[in-house]
Amino acid sequence: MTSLWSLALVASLASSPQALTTSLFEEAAQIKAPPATGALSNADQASNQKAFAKLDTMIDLNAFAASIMQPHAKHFSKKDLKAIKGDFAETVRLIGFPRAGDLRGKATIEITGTQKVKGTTLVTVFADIPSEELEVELIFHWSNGKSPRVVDLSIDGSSLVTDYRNQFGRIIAKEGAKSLLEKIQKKLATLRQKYGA
Amino acid sequence: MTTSLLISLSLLISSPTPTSLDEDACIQRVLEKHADLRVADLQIESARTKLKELESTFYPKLQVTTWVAPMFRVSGNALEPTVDYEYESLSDWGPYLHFEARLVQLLSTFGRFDTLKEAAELNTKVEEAKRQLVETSLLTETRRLILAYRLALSLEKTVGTILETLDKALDYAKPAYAEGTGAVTTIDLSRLEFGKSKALGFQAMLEEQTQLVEQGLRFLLHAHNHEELQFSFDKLPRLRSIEALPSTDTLIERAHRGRPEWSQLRNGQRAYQNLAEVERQNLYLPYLFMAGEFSADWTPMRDNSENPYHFDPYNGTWGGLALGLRWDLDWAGSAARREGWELERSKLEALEIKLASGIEAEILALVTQVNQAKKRGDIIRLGGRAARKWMLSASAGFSLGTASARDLLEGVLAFSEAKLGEASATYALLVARAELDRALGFRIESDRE
Repeated sequence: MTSLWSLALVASLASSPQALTTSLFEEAAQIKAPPATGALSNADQASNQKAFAKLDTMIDLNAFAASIMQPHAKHFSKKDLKAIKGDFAETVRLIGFPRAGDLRGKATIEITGTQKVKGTTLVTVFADIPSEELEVELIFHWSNGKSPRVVDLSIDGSSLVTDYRNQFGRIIAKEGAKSLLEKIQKKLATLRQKYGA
Repeated sequence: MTTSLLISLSLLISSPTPTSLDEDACIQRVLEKHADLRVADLQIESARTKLKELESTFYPKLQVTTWVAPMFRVSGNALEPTVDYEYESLSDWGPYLHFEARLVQLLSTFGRFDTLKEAAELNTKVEEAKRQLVETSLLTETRRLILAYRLALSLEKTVGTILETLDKALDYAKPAYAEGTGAVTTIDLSRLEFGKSKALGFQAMLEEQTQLVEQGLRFLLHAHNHEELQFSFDKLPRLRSIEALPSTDTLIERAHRGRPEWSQLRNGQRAYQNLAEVERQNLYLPYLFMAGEFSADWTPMRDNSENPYHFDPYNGTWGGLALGLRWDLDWAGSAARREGWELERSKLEALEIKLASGIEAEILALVTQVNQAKKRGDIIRLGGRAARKWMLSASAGFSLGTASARDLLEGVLAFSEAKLGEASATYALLVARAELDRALGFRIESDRE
């Protein structure tokens, strides 16, 4: 009975947003950046793919994209909306994941607090990157539930979801919804070429 | 070929290695070698010499006098009615030898020696306090210069980043401008070029400042012209890492404990008090001494008188040992000197209130300076946070293709400007803290990460 209770306690602690944030950084640390000249070895690429897959279980890019597009949905057809959500999620994945290891290597991190707000748990992390003379407060928004995942990231108090919503809104207002879709698809094509995805 | 190789090798071997100095090493060297401190040390030695001079009072004193003089012949003595004087020929003249010695040992001054000795020791403490003042002043000056150097180091990287960013922007902007599509206008290009010139100007000013600071440090370290020094200082710490001050009351209390001026005043007062007391005692107290005296005279030109009751100054020996008292009474002089010492003591006493309020006023002013510098720093940090968000948001958008290069460039420049502001604010705060340390009479370890 005691051992079951201990196991349950350990399991709940392991899946706490604070512990998950630590795991997220540990996974990011495994990712190898491509060398200045040349490409990663096959073994490193395979190792990176494993790490990316693990990060996919911890970061919900689809939910992230859906939140961003939510106020702008009316400007898109169903097909275009589905395309832009999927393309945006993959673009963010291809931009962020390969650089995660390099960034993690340069940074000293400290989890400074946890706070529950409706629907999510916020884990605050203080990151210091001396080589860039940069200190930044990151807040990971973890969804509640059995398998929590990151659905938003705040940088110095500014939510990325809100930030992208505003950027997309400005583009839609100035250039139209199609222009936004084209920009994201153009970027995705460049990244796919770069990473062979 | 071999000769030139050997010459190159020998030059390589003989070229001097620059002396590397970090902050602790610089401070250590100033404390060990600065001329002002050496002079202060010699002042202390001089005060100790006066003490030795005083102690010598209790060592025995020996006076010896001897002479030889020509003397003419006189036959007869004081007991005869007539005497014969003979001085006309050379054979009537001969030598007269005199020898005397006196040994005096002071046995007691009835307390005056101890009082004077204490005064001399207090005077030494006054000199030690003066030395402490010189030391804290030098330390503060050294810290100021080192902080200026550290500021330059902190700014150097940021200015480099700004120039790098502007160069990349210009590399993109110039061809884009030439294309004439409107992506980059004259205003945009000129703005970048103007920004670059400002950054280059700042970089040049930074280099000049660094050289001036280096020269200042070399002077403080008394480095010769040919001595190669390499300063290895850290960049300035982060503003957030600088600890808050203790309460003002605590600081004032520390200053009153630590400031060497209090030691000067109080020890000086006690020294003058002692000197006045000695003059008061001089009005009536004697000196107890023991003395021995020996005297001998001889001349063949006078008849020797064997009668012990007859004082014969020309042939004879006498001596003895005595215990005695001696009074050197100069009532008017002692009273005047006593009054003089008491006035000197009163002058120092009158300064106490000035020192007390002066120290408090100085601490309050410096605490205000530190707090203002901290407040300015906090405001700049807020701006820095905003600039950081600007840059990171622009970066996030630019990497996605939804924000322009101009947005990113302006974000990077705003962030860099904020870094410059933060470094300058940190410097101002740390300089204010260094002054506060001086005012407290000792050092707070406040700027180490």
